[in-house]
Amino acid sequence: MSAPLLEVDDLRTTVTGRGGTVDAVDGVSFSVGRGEVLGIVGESGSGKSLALLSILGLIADPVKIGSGSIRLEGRELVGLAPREWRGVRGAQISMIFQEPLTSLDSAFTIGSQLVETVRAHTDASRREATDQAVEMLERVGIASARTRLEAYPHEFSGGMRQRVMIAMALILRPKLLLADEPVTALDVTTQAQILELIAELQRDLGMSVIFVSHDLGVVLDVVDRVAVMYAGDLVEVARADDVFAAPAHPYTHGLLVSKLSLAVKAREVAVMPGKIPPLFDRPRACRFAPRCPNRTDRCVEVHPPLEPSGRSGRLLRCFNPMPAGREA
Amino acid sequence: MALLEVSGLTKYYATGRGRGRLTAVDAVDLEVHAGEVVAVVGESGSGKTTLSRMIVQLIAPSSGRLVFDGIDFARAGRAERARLRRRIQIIFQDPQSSLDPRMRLDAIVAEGLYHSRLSRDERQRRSGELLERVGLHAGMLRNYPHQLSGGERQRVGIARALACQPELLVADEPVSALDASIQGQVLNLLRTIQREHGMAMLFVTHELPVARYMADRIAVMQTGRIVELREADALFEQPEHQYTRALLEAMPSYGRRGREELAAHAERWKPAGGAA
Repeated sequence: MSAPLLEVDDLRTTVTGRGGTVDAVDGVSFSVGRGEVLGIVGESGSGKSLALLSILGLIADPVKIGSGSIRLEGRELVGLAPREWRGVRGAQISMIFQEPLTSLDSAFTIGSQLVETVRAHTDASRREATDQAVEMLERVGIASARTRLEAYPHEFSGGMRQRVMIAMALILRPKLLLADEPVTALDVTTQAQILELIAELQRDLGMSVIFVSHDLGVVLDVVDRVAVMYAGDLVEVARADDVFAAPAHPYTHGLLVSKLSLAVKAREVAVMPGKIPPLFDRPRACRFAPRCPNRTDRCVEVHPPLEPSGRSGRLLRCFNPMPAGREA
Repeated sequence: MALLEVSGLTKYYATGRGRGRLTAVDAVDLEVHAGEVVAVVGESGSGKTTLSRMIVQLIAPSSGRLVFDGIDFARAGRAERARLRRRIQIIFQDPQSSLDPRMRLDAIVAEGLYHSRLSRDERQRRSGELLERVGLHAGMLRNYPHQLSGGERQRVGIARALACQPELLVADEPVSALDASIQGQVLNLLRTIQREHGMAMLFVTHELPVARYMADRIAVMQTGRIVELREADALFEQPEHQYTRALLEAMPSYGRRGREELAAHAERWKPAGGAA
């Protein structure tokens, strides 16, 4: 296999607060291949968004990268100077967010925002940049794109705004797109359209995508591999099909089963007891132990390492994983 | 006779200096019987929240009738309307903004008990009981909302609503703002409480699976109108309206898998002593 596009190695992103300094992202390692779609699943406080923002260098006090390495095509991104970041952000790695209204500037037309993006990064003329903006808007499914250049973000519906944000993120043809809950704020019928659009653009442009969401059902629809985060730890990394067929970590299992039992018949919904530990008060050993049905003494004494498990390259952080299905 | 009868209920707002009209809820007819759970499903702008707020008297209807236990809202006097407010309670989507950040939990829950002629001590004890009823411990009574997680705050919202012993509980997207692993807990709590109290519930959600889990009947709303209203299972198995079908198709498919495959899988993964 060729070298991965992005390699994240033992990334520690720390948050300093009154309770001291804590690793909100605690030694996370993963890679994204060329043209691969990786999903990161986790709930609030899992560290998934901070991991994403670390990749783009979009963090500031009291959040810091404590240690670790983030390499794009072999080039180290941790510690880049602000000037150097300008050539990376937007041009090579781009990001779309949950709420397009707060990520677009409400005081400027979408045309001027798209054109400025192109002109800040390339030596295209205003006319060339405008043509590129129109082409990109058409590509994301905005009708009569040339006239819509004059429109302000508030003149678009939520789904259309998300399309505009995708156009803006992709207009420089980045190699890697970071998508942070890109459909969570949208209506269900619109969600399906936007997911389809992202998948289509990913194929056409051959880019890699990291797709972050709290919804495993949505993630499995769009990704090749899934990384599951819980309280700052990666707990399971596996191919999407393997996660669906046999979730190994009790947390992954709980997420899948509770949602799935709701989605299909639902006379009883499987429930994970307990709650996510607060950032400054995490269990020392396995962080999922207090909620885990398979917990043993060892789980509350030793922090399990993330280790290869079985075939097909699954990584797992668990001493007592789920059996592979009841009759399998 | 239904507990709640909604007929021709309409709410419109004037737009463009009074020249235009935006109809948020358009001639809705709906009945909720005692002890029954009816879900209202729709996307943003469908009018489901406006409908639920009219039922709890937070928004005045433009026209149409609301009758609860034989009492017509429009003809009820001040005192009668105040009593209706206690008999119909609501829990909101965002438990953060629906709890007063400067009040302790005991005060929040006890507010619903002021009309009950209980003494201060009795109110305090009853508040503790209610918090325990929703899965919190009475020791948290002196805490403030910001000291709780999202799921715990939503439980406080439920305890506050239960304090009045309502006959109808309106739940407006009560789990949408909660984490995935917490949603199931709160749904199960609501279902248990609903059954034990024999309380009727109007459950507003944008998620069809949640509606099916909670409700006996489901009303699908689109642009202010109810386009389909049927038994929950029938709606899933034989959706008649094309918008209902579109909503069903838009459900996550866990990797483009068919409904049968998902069902078989859920069966296989049914809590085997594990994640129950």
